[in-house]
Amino acid sequence: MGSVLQFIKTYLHLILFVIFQVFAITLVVRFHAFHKIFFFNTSNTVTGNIKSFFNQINEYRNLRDVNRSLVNENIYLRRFLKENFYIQTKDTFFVNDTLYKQHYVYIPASVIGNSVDKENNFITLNKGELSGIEKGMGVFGPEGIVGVVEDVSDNFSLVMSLLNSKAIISPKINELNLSQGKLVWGNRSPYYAYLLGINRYEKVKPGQLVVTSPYSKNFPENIAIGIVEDVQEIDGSFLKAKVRLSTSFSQLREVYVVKDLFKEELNNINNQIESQN
Amino acid sequence: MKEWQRFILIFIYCFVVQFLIIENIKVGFWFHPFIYLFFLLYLPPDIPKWLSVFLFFLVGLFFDIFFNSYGIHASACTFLGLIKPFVSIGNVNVAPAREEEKGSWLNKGKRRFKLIFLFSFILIHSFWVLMLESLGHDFISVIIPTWLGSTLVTFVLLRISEELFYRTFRTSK
Repeated sequence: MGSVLQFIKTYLHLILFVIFQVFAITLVVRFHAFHKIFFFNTSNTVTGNIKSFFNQINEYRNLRDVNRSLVNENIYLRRFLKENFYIQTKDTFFVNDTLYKQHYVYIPASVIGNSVDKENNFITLNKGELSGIEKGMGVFGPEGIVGVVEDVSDNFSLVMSLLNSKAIISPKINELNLSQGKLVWGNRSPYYAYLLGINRYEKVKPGQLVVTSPYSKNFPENIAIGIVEDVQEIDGSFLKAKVRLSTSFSQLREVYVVKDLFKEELNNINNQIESQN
Repeated sequence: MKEWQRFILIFIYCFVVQFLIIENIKVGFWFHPFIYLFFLLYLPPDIPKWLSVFLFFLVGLFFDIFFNSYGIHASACTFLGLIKPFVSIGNVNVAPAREEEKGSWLNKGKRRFKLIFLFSFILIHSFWVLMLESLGHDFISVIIPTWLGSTLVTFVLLRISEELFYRTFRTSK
């Protein structure tokens, strides 16, 4: 005890210096917008690099799971190949290709940081602004929806996971073709979310597939969200459905970031409508 | 006049000159003197090291509030507070800043040391403040000219203030 006191007494000026410097720098970062951005960009880059390093090690361990996931996705996508379909009609169609404009492009990325046990969970991706990723873009994986890009630096992106109290997704119940209500996380389980605000007269049942709505601003239509597991009536007028999420968030490795090529055009027209009102 | 009264008077002088005169006349883009260093650098060199760090931090934080520069001056001053006792420690007995009772640096042949001491501390302080303010942007075109300009003007103002103050104290003693 005596030696500790002696140490503090000897180096009190240095201890005070460190404490005061930390306090002063905290004030600088807290109260100056420019410094705040610089600090968070730098810390994002540094932590991103560290995570990237450990991720490279983890990638080797998880190659088997990644392969399995990619094979499953390949099987799913191969079902849609033209060769898999048989044309019954004898009518001839003329399709003008210029009608089919590309609406979405997908940017593949790897998950290098992920949390599932907090109230607000975030995912770090190994690609950022230089790869074309922007704030607000949707992110989905081989099994389904993952989240929305919250922040980007040059080389990394921070994604607000679906497992986040602030995440809200526009859902559609596939069997009913019903785009109604909203999907929120609402509990601390990484396996379930809740579908709220559905009219009680809709025939929502366990086992129905929930996908992204055509009204979603961040995602293309029909990306899997999960399967309805339980339905309850709330306040006598609305239904609350418990949805088992299709994405295994704790095993997430490879994801796709959705780039909406019409987003700017859509925003412009929405802004015009808003300004007229 | 007692020593602590003198330092309170110097502190008020620094505050008034800095915020009622210098901040209002806008000396120029490349010249931003920090007159409050007069109070810090003329504190007695024989105060304990921890007290030096503490006092410098408090003064920096106080002026930060009025500069709207939360933390920048506190950081720079804390660093000065850490190194000042190490630099002036050999001069405790012979050169306590400008205490006429114990003999000034001029009398003890320490004039050159004192000028280098003042100039280098102002140089370090200005550099720290400017670098923290701009985080190194426009280093050649803005920071270096502002750094040197501010240091020179601050140095001249400190020397003038010293002459004004200590001459007054000497005659009033």
